[in-house]
Amino acid sequence: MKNKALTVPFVLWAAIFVVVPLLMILWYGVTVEETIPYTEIVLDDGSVIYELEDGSHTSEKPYEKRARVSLSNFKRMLEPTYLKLLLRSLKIAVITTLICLLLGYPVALILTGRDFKRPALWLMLLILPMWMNFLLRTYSWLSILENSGILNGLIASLREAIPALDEWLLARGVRRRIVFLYNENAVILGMVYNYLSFMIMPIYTVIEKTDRSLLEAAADLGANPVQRFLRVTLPYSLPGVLEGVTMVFVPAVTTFVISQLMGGGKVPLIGDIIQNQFGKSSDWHFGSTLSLLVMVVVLAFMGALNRIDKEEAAQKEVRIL
Amino acid sequence: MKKALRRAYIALIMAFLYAPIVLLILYSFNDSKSRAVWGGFTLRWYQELFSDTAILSALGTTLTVGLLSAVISTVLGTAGAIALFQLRRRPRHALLSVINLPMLNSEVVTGVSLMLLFAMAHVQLGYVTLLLAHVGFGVPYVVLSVLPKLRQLDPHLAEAAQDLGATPLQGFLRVILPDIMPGVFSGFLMALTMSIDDFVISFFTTGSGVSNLSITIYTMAKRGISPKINALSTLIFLCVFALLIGLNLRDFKRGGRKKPDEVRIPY
Repeated sequence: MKNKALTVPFVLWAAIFVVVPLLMILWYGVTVEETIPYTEIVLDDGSVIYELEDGSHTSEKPYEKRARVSLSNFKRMLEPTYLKLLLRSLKIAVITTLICLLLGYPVALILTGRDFKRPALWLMLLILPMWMNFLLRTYSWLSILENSGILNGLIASLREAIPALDEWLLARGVRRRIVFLYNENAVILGMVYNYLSFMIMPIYTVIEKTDRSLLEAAADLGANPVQRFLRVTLPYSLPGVLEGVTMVFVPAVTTFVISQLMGGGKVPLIGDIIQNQFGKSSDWHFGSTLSLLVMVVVLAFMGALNRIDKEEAAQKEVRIL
Repeated sequence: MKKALRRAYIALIMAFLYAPIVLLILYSFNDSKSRAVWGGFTLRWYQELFSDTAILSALGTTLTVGLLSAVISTVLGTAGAIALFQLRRRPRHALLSVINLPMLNSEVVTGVSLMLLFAMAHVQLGYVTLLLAHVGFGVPYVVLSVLPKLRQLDPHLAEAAQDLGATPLQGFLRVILPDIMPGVFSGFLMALTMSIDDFVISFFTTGSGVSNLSITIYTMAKRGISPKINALSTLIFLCVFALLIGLNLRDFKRGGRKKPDEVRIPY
C-alpha cells in the first residue's frame, strides 16, 4: 500500500482549492485597484505622448488597471457603518446560538432518555427537513408570518371569536395585523429554524456515548436527578455542546440568504455586504477585506471554544479522581 | 405527567420544524398562484412541472453536478486519505489542518475565494467552475470519513495480500477497499448531500446562465416562487423520505437503541 504517487494529486488539490484561493483573498484584501497615473504631454507637432510615473514615455494612452498594496480598505472597514453591521451580525448570531442551545439541548436529552422506544426514527425525523431546499423552507415561513399570512389570520379569527380578548389586546396597543416579518426577530427565527438540527445532532451523539454506569454510580452515591444532570450529564456533554455551538454560530454570523428573505433587506448583515461587493458594487478588494475580517472573527471564536474544551477536559479528570 | 411533558416538548419542536414543510406541500396542490388563497385541490403544478424547461434544466444541473462532484470527490478523497495515512506525523498534521480549513471557513469565504481563483485563472464561470467548486468542498468530507476506517484497519492485511502474490492494486481492491467501504460510502453520501443542498458556494462560482435548483429558487424568491417548485420539492422530499425509511426499516422494527453513527442518515 506504500504509494507516494497518491500524495501528489491530493497535495495539488489542497494547494489549488484551499491554499491558493485563501491567498487570493489575502492579496485582494490588502490591495486596491487603480489606473496607472500619467501626465499628458502635447508635443510641438500636435501629437500626444504620455509620461508615466517612472519617467518613461509612451504614445498609447495607458488604460490598464493595476493592484497597489494599500491598507485603505482596512480603514474603510473600521468606519461606523461596517462596524455596526459586524456588531449586529455578531449579536444576531449569539442570540441564535443561545436559543438553539436552549431549545436543542432538551431535545437531545429527551431522545437519549427512555421515553422514546425508537430514538433512531426520531433522529431521522429531525434531519429529514434538511432534505427540502433550505431557501424554500425559509421562504415558506413568509406565508406564515406575512401581514396577510396564516398566523395573522389565526389571530384575527381568535379575536373575532373572543371579543374580550380583542378589547384587551387593543387596549394594550396590539394592532389587528401584527408585523412579524422584516425585522431582527424574523431573521433570528429563520436562523433558529435552519440551524436547530445542527445543535441537536452533536449533543445527542455525545450524551448517547456517555457511559450510563456513571449516572448509576452517581445515583448510588445519593445524587438527586438535578445533581446527576449538573455533575455528570452536563460536563460530559460539553464537547457536543461546543461542536453544536460552532456549527450554528459560524453559518449564522456569515449568512446572507436568511437575512435577505426574513429581513426583506431591512436587516443587512456582514454577509450581505460581502455578497454585494462581489455582485452589484463589484469591489472585490473591499469584499476580500471584509472576508478576511469574517475569517478572523470565526477563527478567534473557535480558538476561544477550544480553550474552554481543554480546560473542561482537565477539570473532568480531576472530578473522576 | 413528566413523561407527557417531555413528549409534548418533542411534538412541539417537530411541529416547528415541519410546519413550513407541510405548508409547502399543501401549496403544491393549491389551484391558485397566490399563497394567500386556497383555490381548491389540483395536480396541475405537477403536470406543468414536467414541461417547464427552466426548472427541469436546473434540476438536471443539480443532479449531474451532485453526482459527478460526489464521484470525483470520493475518488480524490479516498486516495487522499490513503496518502495522508501513509505520511509521517508532521506532514500529515500539516495537510490535515489544510483540508480542515474549508470546513472551518464560512461558506461565503469559500465561495468568494473560489470565485477569485477562477477569475485569476481566466476561467469563464459556468458549469465547469460550478463542478470544480463542488469537488473542492466535497473532498474534505470524504477524507474525514475514510480516515477513521483506515485507522481501524489491520496494517498487516495489505502485506499479507502481497505475500500471497497480489499486486498492490489487487491488494487494494480486494483487501483494503472492502474494509473501508462504509467510510467511502458515507463520504460519498455526504459530498452528494452537501452538493445538492448548496446555495452559497454555487452562487459565487456559476455564471453564463447555468443555474442549479438553489439558485433558481433564490432568483424566484424576489418575485414569488412558482408552485411548480413546490411540486418538485414535494416529489424530492417524498423520494428521500421513502429511501430513508427503506434503509432504516429493519432497525426501526427491531426497535433497538442505536448509536447515531450506525443510523443510516446522510446528513
